[in-house]
Amino acid sequence: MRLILVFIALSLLMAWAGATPPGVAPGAYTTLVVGLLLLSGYLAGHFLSILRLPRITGYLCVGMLTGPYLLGFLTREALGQLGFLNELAVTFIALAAGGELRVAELRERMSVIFLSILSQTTVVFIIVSIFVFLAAPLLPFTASFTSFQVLTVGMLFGVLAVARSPSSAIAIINETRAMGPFTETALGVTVALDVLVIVLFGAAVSFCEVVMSPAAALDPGFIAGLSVEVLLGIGAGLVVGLALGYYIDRVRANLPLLLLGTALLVTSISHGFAAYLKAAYGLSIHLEPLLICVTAGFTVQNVSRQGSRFIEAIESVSLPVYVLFFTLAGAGLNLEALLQTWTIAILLVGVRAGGIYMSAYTGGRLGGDPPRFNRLAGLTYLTQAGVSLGLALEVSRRFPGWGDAFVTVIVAVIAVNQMIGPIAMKQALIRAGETREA
Amino acid sequence: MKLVFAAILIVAIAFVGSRLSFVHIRLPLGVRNLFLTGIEFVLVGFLLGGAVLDLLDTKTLDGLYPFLGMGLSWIGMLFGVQWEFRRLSHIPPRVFGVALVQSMITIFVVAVPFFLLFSRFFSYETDLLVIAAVTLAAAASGTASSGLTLFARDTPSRARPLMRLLTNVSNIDDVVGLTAFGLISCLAVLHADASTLLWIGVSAGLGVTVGLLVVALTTYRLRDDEMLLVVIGAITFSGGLALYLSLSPLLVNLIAGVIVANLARGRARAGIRSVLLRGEHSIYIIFLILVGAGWRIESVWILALVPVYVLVRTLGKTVGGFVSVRLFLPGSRALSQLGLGLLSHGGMAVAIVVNLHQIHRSELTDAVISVVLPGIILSELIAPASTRRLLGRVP
Repeated sequence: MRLILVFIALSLLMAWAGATPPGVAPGAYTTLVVGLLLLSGYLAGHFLSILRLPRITGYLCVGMLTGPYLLGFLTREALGQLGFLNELAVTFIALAAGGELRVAELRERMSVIFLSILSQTTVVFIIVSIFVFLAAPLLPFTASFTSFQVLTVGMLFGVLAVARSPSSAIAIINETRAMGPFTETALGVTVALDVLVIVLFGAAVSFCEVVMSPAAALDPGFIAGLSVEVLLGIGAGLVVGLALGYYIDRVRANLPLLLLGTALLVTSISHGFAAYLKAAYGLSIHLEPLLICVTAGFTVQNVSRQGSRFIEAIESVSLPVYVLFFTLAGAGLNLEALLQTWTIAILLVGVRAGGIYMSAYTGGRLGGDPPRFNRLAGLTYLTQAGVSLGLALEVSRRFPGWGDAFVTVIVAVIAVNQMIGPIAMKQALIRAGETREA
Repeated sequence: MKLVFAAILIVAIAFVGSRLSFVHIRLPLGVRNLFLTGIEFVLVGFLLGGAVLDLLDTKTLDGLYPFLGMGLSWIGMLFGVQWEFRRLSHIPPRVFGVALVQSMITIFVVAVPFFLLFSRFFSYETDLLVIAAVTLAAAASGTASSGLTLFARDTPSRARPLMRLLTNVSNIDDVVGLTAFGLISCLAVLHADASTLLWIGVSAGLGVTVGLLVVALTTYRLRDDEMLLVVIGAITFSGGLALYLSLSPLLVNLIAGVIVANLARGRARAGIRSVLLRGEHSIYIIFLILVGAGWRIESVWILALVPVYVLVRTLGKTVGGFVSVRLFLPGSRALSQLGLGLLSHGGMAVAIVVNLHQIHRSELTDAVISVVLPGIILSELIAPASTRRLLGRVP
């Protein structure tokens, strides 16, 4: 009851501020909104945890409610200003995701993880591609395409359907304090698929360019460039991880602040490096900050012997980061796009979920997991977020004629998956008996 | 891109700064005092800012302003949570009297000449001139207790009661300047409509509401990370709201802090204090760097007012110390020069003038900053010698 009153008080204060002419202080409104998101996100998360729903669903709901499409407390302009906090949060969560991957435990699960990745990539990709081919009448932008071109667009949808959301997965695992073979597999597969999907996307988009424009030739340089990006990203992550391990070993002080700074530094340098290569040499190589941070976290955990201190430091400041990240993600969910394309979006979500369920079951079964795990596995892979959106925007850039319509559908699909994915994952972890939630 | 690099640079400097302690390095007392109060980071910021290296240009600074608002709120709440009445009851009421009266006299002694000076050099309406002069005087009225730690070890036993008095006074007297500034920031001239009294009510109401929100949120047993989230959330929200309404985040959070200190349950209160103290050093340094980076000396002649400021402040502290000791500690002739031990300036003064600059930007507020920031540096350099002189006079 007390918390409901706090929630009401915050909303009233915010509504009152909105009705009052603003002063001249720069950044005041942004500061106010950040505070509102932190407090109301925390409260919403708390309410949902009482209902045994994931806290991050609460954060997302608060973001949606306060975002530009509903109450409008968080304007598009403020969202833009907070972009750098968002980037910081993404890379920080990637550090945490990498740190949660322990080789000793993964080794035992290697066959299940490998088979799950293989089956999920293949089955989800094929099922979603064929579905889009068959459901083309629901996608008006494909009306003028040949059948083969429609199938190629379907392949792009198929590749993006393979992407998951490590940030959601790690937030749920942290919240439920889940630990065990089922959790390890879920996290390992989720992180690996997010890396794999970048390479697959490169191949698919290059192929699509050839099909859409017969004058274009298959560009092996593009695929090679993507492979170089992945390799360089892993290399950079290794260096950052070793440096962090050394710091924790020798200095250790102010570690949470240092980790936040590292996340910021990695994002900044990777963007700066890409801009420099483009400007100086005309090269389009962009080291993925997520990949660098996942690798760095993984390195600290498995190479440096400082894994437990590293995770402890991350967890000490992770809650504000999660709340800010997911409330901003909720505010950024394009509800207009969902309204415009809800039929195809819901169908795509259903088909993707079906594909994931079948493939996760198959992967687990082939890998020798117990039937209970296999029945639940599909529920853990529904989340979808940042990487899919980033890749969809790349489609929009490369195919100006229909790319925007493609993005609208993908954004709607992500919006639904982002809402149902965490709920399904939490239930799966609880039923697998690996949660230790307070 | 520049914004991110700037943020990294600031965090890195703050990080290194928060790890370094210059107290053990053998430097002249004044310089050691300067490092102890952390004011040197204003100079670091000034070098990074548009005036010198331009690494932190105006656009970049605009993006980092949420940190400034958060810093102001953090300072206000940290000061407020120290006002736990049960603990303060151990301090004799006459010490409060000395602290408050000397601080009020300093405000008066500084405000009057600076009002006249500002009236002479700036053509603004009287209300704005009053606001500028009172803000400057409010900044002058506080005392940093950190400078006294330089003498903590080698204070002779006969001077210990005086040291205790100086420490208590310096821990308390910021409240006068902070309240004076909070009230002056409610003057109707800074707001589009409504009366001054209404804005005073809004400031107080906002502080009480935020304090009660924090108390309500911490009634349940919170984990450390939840406590961190609640404190950061409350501070950011109240700071943003106060600045949005052109009020003082310092005063709003001071009131919120007092509410928390006196109404929160024991464990929650300790948890909130612990969060605030853990982040204090880094937040403070980031804050000072941002202040330095935003500092523009529009006209060099304004620097001529710096020695005037330091002199008038020293006069105010001396007269204030003399009168307050006469009023509340009669018979202690050795204490009549108490003001000489209260010259160390500290960070609250920076917070006050920056707060004014946030809610009202003009040549006048630029001038206030350009007088106070070098004034603080100068005061920190001379304060230890003055304190040593006072301690040496104790019979």
